[in-house]
Amino acid sequence: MSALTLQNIDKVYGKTQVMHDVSLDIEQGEFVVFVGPSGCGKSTLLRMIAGLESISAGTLFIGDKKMNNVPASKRGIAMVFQSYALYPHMSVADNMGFSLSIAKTPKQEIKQRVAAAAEILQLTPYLNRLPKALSGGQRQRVAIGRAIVREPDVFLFDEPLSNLDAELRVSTRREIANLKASMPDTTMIYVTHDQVEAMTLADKIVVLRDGRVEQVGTPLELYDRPRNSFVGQFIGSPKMNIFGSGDLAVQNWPHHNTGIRPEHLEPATPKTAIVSGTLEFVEKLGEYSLAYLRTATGCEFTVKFDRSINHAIGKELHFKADHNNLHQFDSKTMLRVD
Amino acid sequence: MARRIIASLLLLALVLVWVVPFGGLLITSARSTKHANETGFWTAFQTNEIGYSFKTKGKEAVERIGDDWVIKGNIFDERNAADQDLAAQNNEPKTFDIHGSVARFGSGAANPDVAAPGETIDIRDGQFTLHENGDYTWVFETEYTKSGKTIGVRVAHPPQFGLRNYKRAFADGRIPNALINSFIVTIPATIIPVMIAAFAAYAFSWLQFPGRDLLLGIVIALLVVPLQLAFIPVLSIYANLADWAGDLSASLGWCSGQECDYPAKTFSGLWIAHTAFGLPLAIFLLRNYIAGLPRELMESARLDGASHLQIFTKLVLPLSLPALASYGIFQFLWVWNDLLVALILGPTSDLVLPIEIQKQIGTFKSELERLNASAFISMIVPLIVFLSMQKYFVRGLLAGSVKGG
Repeated sequence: MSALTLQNIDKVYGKTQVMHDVSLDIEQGEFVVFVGPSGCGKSTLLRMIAGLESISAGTLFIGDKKMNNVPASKRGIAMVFQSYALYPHMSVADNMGFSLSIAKTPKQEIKQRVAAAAEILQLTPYLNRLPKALSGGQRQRVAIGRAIVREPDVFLFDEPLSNLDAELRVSTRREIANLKASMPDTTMIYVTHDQVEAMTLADKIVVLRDGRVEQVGTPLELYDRPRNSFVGQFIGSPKMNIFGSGDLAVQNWPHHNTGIRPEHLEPATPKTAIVSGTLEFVEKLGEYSLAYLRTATGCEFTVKFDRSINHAIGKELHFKADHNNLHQFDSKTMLRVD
Repeated sequence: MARRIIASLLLLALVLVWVVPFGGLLITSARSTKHANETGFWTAFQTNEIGYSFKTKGKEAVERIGDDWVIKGNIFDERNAADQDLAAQNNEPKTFDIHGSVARFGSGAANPDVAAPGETIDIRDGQFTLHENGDYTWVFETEYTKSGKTIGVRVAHPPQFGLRNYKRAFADGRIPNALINSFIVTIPATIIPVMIAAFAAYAFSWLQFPGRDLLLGIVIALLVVPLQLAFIPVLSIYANLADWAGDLSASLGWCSGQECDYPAKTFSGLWIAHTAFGLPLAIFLLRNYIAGLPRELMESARLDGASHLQIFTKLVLPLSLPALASYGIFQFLWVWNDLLVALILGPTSDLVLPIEIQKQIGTFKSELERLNASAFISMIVPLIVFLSMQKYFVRGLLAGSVKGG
């Protein structure tokens, strides 16, 4: 049985349709990440699951119950907001216990459940503080704690890390991964625009663009077999190079675009090369270097070198790639061709 | 730099504009009638020469000393004793004692500047000598058979302050009554609109209902309706209502005859009027603040299972305390100082402080210090309210203009 099912979900604001026919199955205990560029509708989709936005058409099931018109608080979900949305005038303990006190849970039980959640999140010393006396990372943990206390079936995260600095983001990301590991039966849906978060956290990634699902799959499926050039370019950093048929030395695929990831291009001799270009710019990152090149036909592409490269700017370089690492996309529909 | 000096000077000017009249009022209210009427409050801290007329003792005090008939006394002591007796008879608080030293004196009230202290002048064929400390001797060669004589004395009077005017104001009974009436009017007329406006502001910000924006527009448009426009219609509504209620009570047999003449002008009428006139601004200010609360907070509370009423009481009310307090201060000051509405719609027997003071201006026209004491009593209440909630006031005024303020 799926924990959560979306069937042909549409969302319309006035005359603008922002979600188009979204269908999705999420298994119980899965960690699903919605990812896509800003404005793709990933947060809207999450808010529709949460019950904060109405569903214009289609059906939402949580468990086996239709949830379209069930109020947010009765859907068995908990949500962690980007801005934490802590109640500024309540202590950490009151913040975490708010939903229980609204539900008229006995005080003793509230205390126990808050204490248990605080224990997991290492918030016990801060229970009596106000949110303003906490650091950003601690506030984020309180927001997560507030969700844990409700013991929801489905956890929703709306870009929970985007307000944290880079270092804290990495450690909090790991905490979320640990949290998921400690709650194997809880389904989590996580929205981000950061494909690194998506790749590292997800059991299943849903790539969205312009209100449509582009591809659903495990991180490696998306990396290895992107369904179209958009997914290919969105997943992976630096992004995949897309060559038109005229840009390559081999002309086997007249109506296809060819995608090759920068890390899959290897230096070659002019005879064995499938693509050649002049070096325009180099970024040296220590661990590896990125070279930006341009083919004679004007197509820009990127190559990832193991370490530093010593070629002069303006020099022509030649590259080959393993046949398995070439992705063919139809030049009109942009869909993968195998 | 120059801008900072100009700003500082401007601030200083503003402070003076407010503090000087306030100080003048306070100082004057602590002075005697004579001082207040004859010298400005800015001279209150120095010795002033003030003209008095004193009555000397007459034939009843004549003593025979050697060949002469002599009258002795002290003008200050006699006058102070007489004033205290009079005050005691009238059940009034103790009067201000006259003290100081004689600067000049003369034989009549109209010419106090004839002689210096210690000099002797001729009054009614007697040799009258007045010393600096107020002691006088009046020496006659023949027996003096008349009553005392009024003499003019210029007294160098040191500064003198006291609470007599306040004691009189409170002893009168009308000022304390008016003070209580003012509280009866002001406190409900502040709390009712703040509460209604808070509910309305929440609804206008966070509830979806048809015609919401149109309704808000109408409410805000009411801001420009002048108060005066509504007096006569409102008063006639109150009068009709009172008539109708009287008729109803009479027909139900609850009262008879004159008992059924319910007053049209009541405290509750004032509460309703002030609430109605205050609501547009209250809703406007509070809506701006409450609409500025983060949306995610409301959504989070909704996910936590809170109803709109719970969101309002547990989240919105505590978080908008600064805005509520600052509008509350506005409304309190406005109602407390209101004369017009209270005059037209308020009860005719239980007067509020501004009306009472206005009436006293007629009664105690010449007693500036007494009026000032009443005025100060009416000023000190809003001052205490303002100073004790000033923190909220400043924060609340910034609300809506600065995000997160």
